[in-house]
Amino acid sequence: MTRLDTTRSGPTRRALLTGTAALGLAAAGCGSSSGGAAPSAGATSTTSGSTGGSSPGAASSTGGSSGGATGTLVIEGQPFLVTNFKAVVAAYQKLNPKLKCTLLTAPATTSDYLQQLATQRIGGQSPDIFENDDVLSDEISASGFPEDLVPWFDKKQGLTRSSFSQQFLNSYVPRISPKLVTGLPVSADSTVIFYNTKLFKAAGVSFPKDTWTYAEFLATAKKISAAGKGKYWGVSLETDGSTPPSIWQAQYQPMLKAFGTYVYDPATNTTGIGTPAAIKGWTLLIQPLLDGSTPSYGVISGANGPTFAGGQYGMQISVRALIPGYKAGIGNDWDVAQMPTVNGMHPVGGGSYGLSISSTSKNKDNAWAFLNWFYSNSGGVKLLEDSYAVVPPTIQGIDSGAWRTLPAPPQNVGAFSAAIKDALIAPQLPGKAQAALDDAVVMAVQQVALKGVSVADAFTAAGQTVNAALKTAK
Amino acid sequence: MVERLEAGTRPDERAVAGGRRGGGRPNRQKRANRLAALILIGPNAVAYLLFIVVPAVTGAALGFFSWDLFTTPRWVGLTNYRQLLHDPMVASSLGHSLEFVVLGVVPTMLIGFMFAVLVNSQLRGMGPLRVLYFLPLVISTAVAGVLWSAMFSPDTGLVNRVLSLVGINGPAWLANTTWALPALTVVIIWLSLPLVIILYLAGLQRVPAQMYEAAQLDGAGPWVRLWAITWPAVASTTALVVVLEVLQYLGAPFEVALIMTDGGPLNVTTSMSLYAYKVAFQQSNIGYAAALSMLQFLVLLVLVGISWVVVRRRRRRQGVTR
Repeated sequence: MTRLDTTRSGPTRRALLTGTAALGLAAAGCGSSSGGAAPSAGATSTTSGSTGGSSPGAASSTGGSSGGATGTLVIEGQPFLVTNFKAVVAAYQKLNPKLKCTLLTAPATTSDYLQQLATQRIGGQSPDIFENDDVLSDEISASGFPEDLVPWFDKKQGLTRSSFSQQFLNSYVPRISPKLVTGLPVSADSTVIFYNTKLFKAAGVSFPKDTWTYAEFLATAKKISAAGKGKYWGVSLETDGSTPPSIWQAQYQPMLKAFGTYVYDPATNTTGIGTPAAIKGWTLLIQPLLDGSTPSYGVISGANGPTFAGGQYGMQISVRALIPGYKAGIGNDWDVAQMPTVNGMHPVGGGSYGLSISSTSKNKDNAWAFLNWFYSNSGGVKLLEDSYAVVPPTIQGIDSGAWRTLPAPPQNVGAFSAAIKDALIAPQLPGKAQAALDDAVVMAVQQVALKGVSVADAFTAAGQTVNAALKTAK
Repeated sequence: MVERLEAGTRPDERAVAGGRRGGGRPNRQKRANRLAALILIGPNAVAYLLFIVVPAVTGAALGFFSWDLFTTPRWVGLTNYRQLLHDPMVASSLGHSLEFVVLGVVPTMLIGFMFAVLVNSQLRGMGPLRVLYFLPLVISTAVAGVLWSAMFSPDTGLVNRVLSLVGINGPAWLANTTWALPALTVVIIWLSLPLVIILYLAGLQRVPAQMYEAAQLDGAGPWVRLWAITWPAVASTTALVVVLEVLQYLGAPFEVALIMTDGGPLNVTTSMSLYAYKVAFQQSNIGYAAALSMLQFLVLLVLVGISWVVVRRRRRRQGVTR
């Protein structure tokens, strides 16, 4: 709220001198300055309690392996990461009782999260480890937030570059600085269809098959919505909690490829999202919003919109990272299937969220020790794997990890195996062009849903907007 | 100083008496008074300088630089200001800011005035109102935004449920390009009412009861007394309220829209301040954001100036001297 400033005349020179003298009094009488304490504004924290414990089982010989880590370690991530990481941080705290571990929750919206990282950095309050994302990695790197991990690899004390599947690690190699590695993937994520078996039975439709076509997928979604009569719907537009509602890049990237076009071509520095071939893909993607398989845009953008975890969608295109939330919401009444085929191929989006060390962290040794423990055979990744949240981003983890033999659901574990092979990792757009792409897709979806603009017009305009942004992006 | 006054001497006599010696006691008194005043206003003056003047001057200067918060600012001259002329979002967001002002100021003023009259009256049942009107002032804008977002929810929200009782099928308020801005204006009106009511209450306290008695003797009914006596009597308060609320409606949409709609849908609730914020912190373009802020400052000066002139002319026509 604005306040009317009623001070009308400036002070005299004498008043200035007197005022300066009074500054000491004012400083003594005023409260403490802001921004001095962690956690920063906007972040909530979870501090693990410390109990006695043995040394961590990390393969590395860093401080973490001896259990003697001291000092502090602050890890920050968006809500879904915090949900998954509470047990991880608690386990690490138990192994390092003298270390104070804090888990901060950052805003769920990407733009707010990036702004918080910037604010924390300016205020000297950066977390030691923060969540990175494959599509944001370039933008985050350009801002100077993350530490280059190559020197840490070179120390040969634990993790090395070859520890990871290069397919997923490459998302954290900045486009403009390919010799750097600025993050480590937490999971080898790839999209599959999650479906609610209870709603399928209630609607009287057959479960999805791995050989489904996209047309069958859309038809099934429509039938479920018709049966739901406003209590549940066929398919969600995006994963639970996404705001504002849009189409997820992990859906449109492979979809556009299935139609022979592209989202970003580094060679020409252009986007193909507005091409006629792309329009065919967008038409399929936005169909559920137009035919009632998804609730109206007003409902899905509301404060309490429907969710898959809440049992209000028959299907959701999603990734393994969200399984803990689904199990908490709908228990065991779900399974997975491969993405339905388009032009003979499964349009699978792949990617990961990752962990990065802050370049301004004062506890880099502790952060590196945590990462070594995290990726060790009995570390955090193992805990997450056992909670169904990750497929380890290593060759061995993908091919033969314990996630394959966990109790059902999911019953159809093969869907994940096949998806990882087909996964299209999103290309990195330069500078702020990724933000421009995200905004352009949101605007296009809103124009179609709210203003009745044709898909062709809306996404052609989106393509022009992104191409203009690419011309000026660095 | 108080003791000398009580002794019966007048300050001017003391000045004459002390003047032969080139300024004795009266000058010391004046200096002491000045020093006391400066010490008392000093902290506020310093705070004003540090938190208002310095950031404002810095902001104005930043408009001539290109800066992303992390690298060294680079001088670009008038580039940012030239960009203002070609950016379609500038006109759009300025239009939305003015829409908020047009839709919000007059209703806030009138509703606040009516509530103040009710609170000030002796009518039965006004007790709870005297407490509840203060509620929006103690709730933070963020909390209010979340609460109102839930209330405006199209299928589960209170607003549409109430409307459905009278047969109206309410829209998806915050996802509707026509209704999103008015919905946010309702929220800002709700947030603004406490201060307006307090100001009008203070004004109403100064209206002499004899005027109402005389009007009643002349046969004036309650509505006539309201508009012929009460409303003109609080003209000075109205002038203040108008200026305050113009400022409010230029600034408050930033917080409310950021929380409730993020400026959407389709940027229809993106005011100038919200656009400047997004340019600064989402596009990391501090220089251009500073230029946008300067433009908003100019708009604010113009609007406040117009408001002031209009109100003063009306008061002169009504013969109000205070």
